[in-house]
Amino acid sequence: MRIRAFMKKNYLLIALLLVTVFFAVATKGKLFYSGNVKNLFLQNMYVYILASGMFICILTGGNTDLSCGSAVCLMGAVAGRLMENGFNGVTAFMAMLLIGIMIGIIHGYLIGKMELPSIIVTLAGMSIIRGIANLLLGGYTLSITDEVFLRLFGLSKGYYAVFLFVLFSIMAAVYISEFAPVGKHIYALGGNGEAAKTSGINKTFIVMFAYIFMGILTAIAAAVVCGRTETVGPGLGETYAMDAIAACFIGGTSVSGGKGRMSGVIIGALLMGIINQGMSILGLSVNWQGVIKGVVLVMAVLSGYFLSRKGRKQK
Amino acid sequence: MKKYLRLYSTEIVFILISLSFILLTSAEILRPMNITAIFLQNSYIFILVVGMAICMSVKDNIDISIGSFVCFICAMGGVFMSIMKINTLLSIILLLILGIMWGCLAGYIIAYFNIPAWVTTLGGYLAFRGLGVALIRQFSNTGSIVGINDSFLKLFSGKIFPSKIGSFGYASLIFCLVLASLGIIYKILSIRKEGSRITSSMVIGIAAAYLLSIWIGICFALTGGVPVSFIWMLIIVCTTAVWIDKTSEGRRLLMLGANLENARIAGVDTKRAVLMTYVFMSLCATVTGCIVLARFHASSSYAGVNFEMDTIAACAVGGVSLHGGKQKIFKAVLGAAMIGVINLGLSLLGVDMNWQWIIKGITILIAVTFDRYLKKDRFE
Repeated sequence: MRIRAFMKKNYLLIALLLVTVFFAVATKGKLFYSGNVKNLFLQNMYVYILASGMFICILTGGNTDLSCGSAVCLMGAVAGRLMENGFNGVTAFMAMLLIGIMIGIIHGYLIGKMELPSIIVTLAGMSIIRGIANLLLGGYTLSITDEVFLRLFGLSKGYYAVFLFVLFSIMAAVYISEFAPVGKHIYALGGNGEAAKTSGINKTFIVMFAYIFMGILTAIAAAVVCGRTETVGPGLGETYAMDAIAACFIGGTSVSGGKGRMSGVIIGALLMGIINQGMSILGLSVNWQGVIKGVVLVMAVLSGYFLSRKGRKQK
Repeated sequence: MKKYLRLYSTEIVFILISLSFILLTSAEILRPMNITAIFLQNSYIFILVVGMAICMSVKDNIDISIGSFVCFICAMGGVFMSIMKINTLLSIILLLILGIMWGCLAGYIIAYFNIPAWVTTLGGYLAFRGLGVALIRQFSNTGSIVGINDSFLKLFSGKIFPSKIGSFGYASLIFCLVLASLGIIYKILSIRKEGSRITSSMVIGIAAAYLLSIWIGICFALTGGVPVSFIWMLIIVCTTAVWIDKTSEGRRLLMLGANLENARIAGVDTKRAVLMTYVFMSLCATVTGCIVLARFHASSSYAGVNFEMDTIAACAVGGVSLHGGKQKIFKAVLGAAMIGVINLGLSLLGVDMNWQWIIKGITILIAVTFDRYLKKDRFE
């Protein structure tokens, strides 16, 4: 009994340990080469940022945002085009934020006010945003050379300001979910939407807040990704939404909202990072990576179900 | 006014969109070749929309894995027939078994573990696209497995009542007329049986349907016969429409959508019913996969890209309620025809692929918002 209680409490850490050991053995220790450990964080910064935003969205009642990957591409494309035409990096980043906020307002209005299913709204949004991004890019890959932008978000110039942005995203999500009054409302809405509405919580505002937050974090993620790779190409961010959603569910966020902690999401993102990294060291093709991510996503959700059921039975 | 708008919104929008594309393409879209192309190139939407309408009849249910699953079925069909040299019949049976297996798995996870449909099918969306493409890459260097059995191709693509292009195939026209007459006789009989009177709007509807089928028949006659995919589409649409309208099982499904809790208390095995909707959806996707495989004559890694978008768009414009319980198969099929017209019209106009994505996304958003607006008005 004590073992089971321990397992239940620390299953995330155990899963993390098991996956790490598995990939360490499978890659014959290559996973722990210093370069790989560094990449483990650097290449997956976007997962932490997007997962933080996605976490808040899911908390409001199982609402998701499938469009964030396409939005990363669109923001990158806009910023790339702006900087190509002589605007400086800060202006470009402001434009990214503006796009993120606009997308957030539209999604939030349709989902919160019109009460449309988030999956359909963001799926349609994904298609629209991807279309606009591809039109802007015109099939080319833009390279980003702006000094200011690369200093802020890049790694090649020797500045590491980008970590501040990652840290800001995570801390903002922690603050909202743990301390802010609005966080309590978010949890209440996700736990029991009807009860929350009856007790005077403004659902439209809360959902819009969550999606605008998601939009802002998407902008940061876009800047971070573009800054690291110094390029923007068509097809950027195609699996990002899946990574973020999987990280949230691995981290124990309830699929119907209202339950979950930011600490779990960070571990989930770390786990996703190790899986990503391990698979690319093993040389698995993108296709097999997709298969494994899909299976991991469903397994994570299922394990959440079994753990919560066991908990209920013990009571 | 609002009452008519609510009742006939799908039909009105269909007529408006058709008219605008007729004007935009200066009637190019009405050419027999193009009308046939709607059914040839977009047969997948018609079949998938039926499955999706059934699936979405229960609140919060959706299947976004269908596009990837079509790709997977194409790949497996290629592997079975071209690589393993299994005969056609056995291959089809194996593919159907695969479809049932995925339907059971997804349905079981969704219905019995209470996992939201979008998460489960998102997993399938990722996994099947990866599996399909990986299989095709495994067995060929060119990105497509060729060498599909001839009998399979005959069964799922090509034409029946073939006639030379340029000559008039009377057999196709007569076939379409017979089908249309049968359909209308069935409709009149069922109205009689219910004891309700035939109103003037029904007469208009029947006349319009009859004229439309004559037109389609003439188009098929001029372009070399009735496409087999059209027959598959008819079979699936008609059996499903009868099933959902006339049998107790089908009515129960609609009741399930209207109010899951009430249905459960009334003694319906709701979990099993939800599971069955996913099996049905996957079977539709399997048939679609076979048709796509036969149409390309090879399993391609691009099979099924964006099919889920088209299907959800068709459901949205076809008045499939997102809150369940209001499904009319006929309207959903009209929605599919609408997306078919949009697809064809946009490609006739030479609109860029990316613009097509944007337009389809906006179509979905407008359709679901409009649907919501009409419904909200009634409840408040």
